[in-house]
Amino acid sequence: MKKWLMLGLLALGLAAQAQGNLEVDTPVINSLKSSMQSRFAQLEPLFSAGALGLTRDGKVEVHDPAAIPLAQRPVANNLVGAENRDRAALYREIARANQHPEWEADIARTFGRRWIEKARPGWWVQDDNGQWKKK
Amino acid sequence: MWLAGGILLAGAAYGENPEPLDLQLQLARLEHPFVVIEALQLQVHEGQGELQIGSLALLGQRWNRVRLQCGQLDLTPGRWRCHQGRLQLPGQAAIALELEQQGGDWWLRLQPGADEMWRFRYQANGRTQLSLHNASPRLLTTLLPSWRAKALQGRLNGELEGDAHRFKARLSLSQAGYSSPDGRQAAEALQLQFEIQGRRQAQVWQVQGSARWSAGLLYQEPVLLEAANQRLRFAGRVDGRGWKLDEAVLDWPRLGEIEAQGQGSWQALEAGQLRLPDLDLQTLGEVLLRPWLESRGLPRMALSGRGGAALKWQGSGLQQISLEPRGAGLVVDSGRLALEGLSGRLEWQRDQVREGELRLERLALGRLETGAFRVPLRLQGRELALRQALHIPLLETQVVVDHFKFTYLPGPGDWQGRLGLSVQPLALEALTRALDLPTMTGRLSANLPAIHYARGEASLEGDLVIQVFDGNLSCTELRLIDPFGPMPRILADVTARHLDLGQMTQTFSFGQMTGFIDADLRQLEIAQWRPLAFDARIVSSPGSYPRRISQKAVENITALGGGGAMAAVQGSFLRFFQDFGYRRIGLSCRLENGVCHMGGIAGEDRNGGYAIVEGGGIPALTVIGYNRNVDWNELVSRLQAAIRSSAPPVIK
Amino acid sequence: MHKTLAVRMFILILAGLLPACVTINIYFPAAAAEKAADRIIDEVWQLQQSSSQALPEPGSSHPQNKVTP
Repeated sequence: MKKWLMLGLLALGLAAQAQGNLEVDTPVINSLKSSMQSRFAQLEPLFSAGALGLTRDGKVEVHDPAAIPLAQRPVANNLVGAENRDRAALYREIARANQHPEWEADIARTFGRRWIEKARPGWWVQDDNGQWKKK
Repeated sequence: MWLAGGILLAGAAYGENPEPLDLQLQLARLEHPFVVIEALQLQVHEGQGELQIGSLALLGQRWNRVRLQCGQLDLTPGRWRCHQGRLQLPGQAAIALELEQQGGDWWLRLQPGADEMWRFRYQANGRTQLSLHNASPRLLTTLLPSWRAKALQGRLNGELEGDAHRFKARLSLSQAGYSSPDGRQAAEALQLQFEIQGRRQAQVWQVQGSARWSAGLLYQEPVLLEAANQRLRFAGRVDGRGWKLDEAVLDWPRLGEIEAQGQGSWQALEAGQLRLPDLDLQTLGEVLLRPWLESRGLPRMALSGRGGAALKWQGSGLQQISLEPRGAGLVVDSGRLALEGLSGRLEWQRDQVREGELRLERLALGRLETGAFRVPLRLQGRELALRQALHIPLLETQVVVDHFKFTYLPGPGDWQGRLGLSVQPLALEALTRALDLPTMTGRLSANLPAIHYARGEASLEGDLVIQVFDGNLSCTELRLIDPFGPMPRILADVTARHLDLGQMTQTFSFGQMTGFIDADLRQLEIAQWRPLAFDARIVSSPGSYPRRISQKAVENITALGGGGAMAAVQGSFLRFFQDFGYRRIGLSCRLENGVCHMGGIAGEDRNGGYAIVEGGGIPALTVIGYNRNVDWNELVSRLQAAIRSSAPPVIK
Repeated sequence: MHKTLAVRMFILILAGLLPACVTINIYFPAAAAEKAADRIIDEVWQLQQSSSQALPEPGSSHPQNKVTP
């Protein structure tokens, strides 16, 4: 019992040590950020209309194409493609900038949770099982 | 059974009596392979009739409480007629109806809505006719509720007729649309003309037809297609076991023709092939490829030229693909990479090794352009490899690619590859001219025997050596990050030894300096041809050689600080000297987040400043910098301004 | 009897969970990542006035050199 307790404390100690700050202030991250920031003006109405949703792995997906006029759907698809390209690059870059490329998937999931947490009411988001629900 | 029932009804109805007849008939259950009727009740009273069906099962559907009312029911020997009828299906608006039967002939007229008419005629000899006027999908969706979810719209006009040996149909669909529940397939304002005819020989129906798509939009995520008078012709046969498409040709204006053949059972496709003999690639790129690539976040590509392709499919999957570009072109990201004059043939076959060859007239990477070359390739499974070394002419010399092999991995890892290349000594003069840089003399050569690409990152083993300014510059630890992503980057360590300052300053019109320098750039990171980060250090090369710095060069160095400092020189006796002696030069800059953290000659920091030029000889001049954090863009623009103002220094 | 069983179960569960906890916590700084994510998301979605304009103003910090004979 004592042994396990010790191990537990050790684990906590190590965990606490690892919780520093992540490096997220590099030119690449900043450039990706501003690219996403300027795209958000176009994405926002699509989120509000329920056309797009946020996935738990930190991406954007077309949730309900029917909410977009047919002729506009390719534009929405391109926006989603470009946004996901930036997001994937962002997660990879954060992992790389912190010398842990293997963190990429964890970072993507963390972002996924945070995007969803900060999404506005009425937006579509995925729950932990990947099911769509309205916030 | 159904017909027998009808005759039975008729028999009961007209009888011998000439007066209007009152009649009540009840049937508990009527069964037929297609139809099951339960609790049928017929009531005739004073020339009006009403048929009630407790439960009707038809086409796998079941309706309860179906009512058919006849405003006027004529019953005469050999003939009966339901006039001003109304068919009432539960949960549906009533449908106006006329029904008539004479001998073995039946007429049915349905009017589900205003200006809509379905006319059906069945003759005793088996001949059946259906004529549609502005038919809406309402009736269809009533019969086939699985179509209801697709939100069908449109109007159908035309005629169908046939018997046991032949049939013929000519239909036109207008203002049609549909949308799958998830919206990933949809159509809007479709206009389609359709013709089909068939003839039966023994148990086989020979069918042929044509279709034309003249207006509207068709969407299959992520591709939106627009009508352009695409025409389809097809011929095939159908029997109880399956189908065979002898030939189908889709003529797509501007794009080309697409030919298809295939056969299958009613459950699955057994074999098929698609031939695209001569396509306009620009249209293909715009219509199909670009939406597909861009929705996946891949860079924008523009195709040009022509080409052919063929695909073969068999029960177990794709068997064969062949591509035949004919003078094709490709431009990625409006010019980051461009191919021109691509021709040849490439073939992939399942479980086989296939060899092919492509020829390329020009390959351009930004401003760098190559001459024509051949690419002998081998395809096997998921692997694309080079058969022989590739010789790419580049600026009077050549780049030799000894080997490359790319493997496609299904899943997130996508592509993995290995590549080995060398650049034969290349005259810097030609290279700098091509890149629109100040002309430099020297030679560049590279030997990169192992370039690995995986997970969006290429690491280059080996080095790139440039002999320039009488010295040597070598790039090692080369890495390419996200070459196909939104921010492609180059990483490298650069080591330069014994560069002649005289040649350098002359090349860049930076005044005149004599001497030699060594430079080290560690962890250099470049994106969009701009450095994002590095840790650089420049020092005077060891050895004994003349070391002079001209007034103009001093002026330029100090101008980097914003000017003003030169006034000190101009204002003192120093202005009478063209150049000065120095002992050492040293400058370091660690670029991080757009800021250059500067330093000077190691160990020569004084009063919070750092020495960039340490004076020596007569007259000696020392340059000291004070600001350690400098905005990089600002520094670059000052440097450019200094180089531009290459006028000789003013000496009064 | 029941009590010791419960304790044993608890230890077993702890034993089963601990290695998982250790790997996750040591190798991935979840809290730091969350903090970083929040900062970036706030900026991209402009949820708060971003205060991280760390870059020096151009022109304010150019090298001021001195020439000494």
